[in-house]
Amino acid sequence: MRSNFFPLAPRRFLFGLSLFALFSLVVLPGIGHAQDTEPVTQIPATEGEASPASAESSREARIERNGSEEEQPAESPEVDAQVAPTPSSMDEPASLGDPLEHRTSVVEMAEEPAAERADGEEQAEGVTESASPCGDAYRCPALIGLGAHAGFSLNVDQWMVGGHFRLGARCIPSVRLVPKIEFGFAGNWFSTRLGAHLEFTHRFGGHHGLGIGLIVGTVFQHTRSVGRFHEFCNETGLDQCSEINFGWQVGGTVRFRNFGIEAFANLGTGLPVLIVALSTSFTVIGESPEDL
Amino acid sequence: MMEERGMKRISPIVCVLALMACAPDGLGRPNPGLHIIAHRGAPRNAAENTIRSFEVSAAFGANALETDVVMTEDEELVLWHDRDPDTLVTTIRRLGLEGNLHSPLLPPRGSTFRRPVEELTLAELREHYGYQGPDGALDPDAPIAHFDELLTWTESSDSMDAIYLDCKFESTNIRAAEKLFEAVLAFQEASGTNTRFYLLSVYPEIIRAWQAVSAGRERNDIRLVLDVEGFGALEQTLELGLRDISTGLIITEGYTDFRRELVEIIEARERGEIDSVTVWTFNTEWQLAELLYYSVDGIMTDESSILFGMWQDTLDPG
Repeated sequence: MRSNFFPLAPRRFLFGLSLFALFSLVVLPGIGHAQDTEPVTQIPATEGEASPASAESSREARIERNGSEEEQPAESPEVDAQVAPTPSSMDEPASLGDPLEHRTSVVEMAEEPAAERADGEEQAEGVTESASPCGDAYRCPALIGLGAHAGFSLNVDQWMVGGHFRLGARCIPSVRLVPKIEFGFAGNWFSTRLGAHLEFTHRFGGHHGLGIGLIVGTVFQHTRSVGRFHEFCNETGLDQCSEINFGWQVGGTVRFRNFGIEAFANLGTGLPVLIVALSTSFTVIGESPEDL
Repeated sequence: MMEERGMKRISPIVCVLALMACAPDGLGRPNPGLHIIAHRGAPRNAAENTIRSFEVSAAFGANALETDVVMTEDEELVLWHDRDPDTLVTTIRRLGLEGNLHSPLLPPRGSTFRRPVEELTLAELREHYGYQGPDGALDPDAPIAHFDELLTWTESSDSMDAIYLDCKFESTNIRAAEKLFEAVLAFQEASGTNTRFYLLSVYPEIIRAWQAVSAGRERNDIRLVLDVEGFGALEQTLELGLRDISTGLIITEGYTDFRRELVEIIEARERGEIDSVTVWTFNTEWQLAELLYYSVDGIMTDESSILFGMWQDTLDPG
């Protein structure tokens, strides 16, 4: 019954958000840390390929973080076994054992035009500075994108526009957390939806290319009457002309670079049956727009 | 050819504008004569289409009732939804996916009694079919009701302004249509109730059979209604020379399209082309609010108490 359902909605919404928060705070960094301990074969860079500029910036960043090269804290035994920097390699910034290489592909930077490379270096330093208070989080720096989306919903049939963040980590390009707000309008209603979804995307041809993904999320919707219907509601005092609903979303996405087409089926009373949206996002913190 | 191409180009624009169109004049007035139509009674609280279910719906504030009618092999009219036990809809209902308190109980597949109702006697139907409660067992307190029981209850309770009989006969079962009409006519002539009967069928053939059998015996309290599933309710109703419309939202029809057609129907009613419009089956509050705004004449619902409260709000804004 809807009348019984309503009081539970805020609690369920908060529970859903808590799950996302838990995921983003615990699981994502955990995955990132696990990747940091992968064998060095994941790092394609070699000493010879590293540009002097990037190597120097990495070294500076490390010094800045640790106070001095000599005071660099010891890695876990597992990491030590894999990266095992020798005394000589410690002095070589772009060596295989340098953990900073994980967040900046030296090969890519070396192949990029000079202007882009400079940008990348700036961002890399920025990430290091912002991540350093969190200990090992610098190993898998955060990516934050900002974007907009527009589309339509069915039952309630409305046009929809909205904005969103795309949050993720550089080392797990297939997972993104997308908090969003959107507005639906048409007919006798105006809807405001606040929610978040997790997106698991498989990219064909690297993170720049075409990808398909699965979406699961949660949404909180407020609907109110507009126009003459709203006047009717005011005159008659119908409380049902304003509603709050909560539900889950499942769906899929097709992405190319930083564009996507998303389709959501909503599971919850009073929510649109289907939402289809075209979205685009731009990186505000991170390394390249294609990541998001 | 050029015109066709032009139409194709502008059709998306028309769709956009239509979706954003404002409501026309003539809507938004309270309807004191609204029928709150209890869909099969109160199926969330009692077994559907049973006298107990009708009693509960009346207590919830329903002033009209919708029930399903089929005819058995021995020409007994009974209140039962699933004429054919092997349709997809029956399967969905059997699994309890409608969210009702009870679900229909059918013979297992392979049973000789698992066949359409018109191939079963009343005794066989009552022995092998019924309603199972939340515990999964046949509910002995929810027997399949005979149509005569409905008439008896209607007269004794006198709580319903209207009874909507959703006739599940096949288009070729003219005999069932005739028998039902005769039963209702006899009741109306004999009883002193003010209850109006609406005879609904999705088949124009059944409507024509009713029109034939009622020729010269028309009564204002027995209304024939084509129950339109999908688009074109107004056109099809007018084509058959009927004055009442019944239409609903089905899965292949978007709510916007339904609402747009509903506005056209309301406008036709305002012009005097038809007498009433009934819509089915709505349980969501925001949709119920919108339908009250559209001033429809009847709303079928599983949530009679909610609709009753909302309707009262519109009648007494203070």
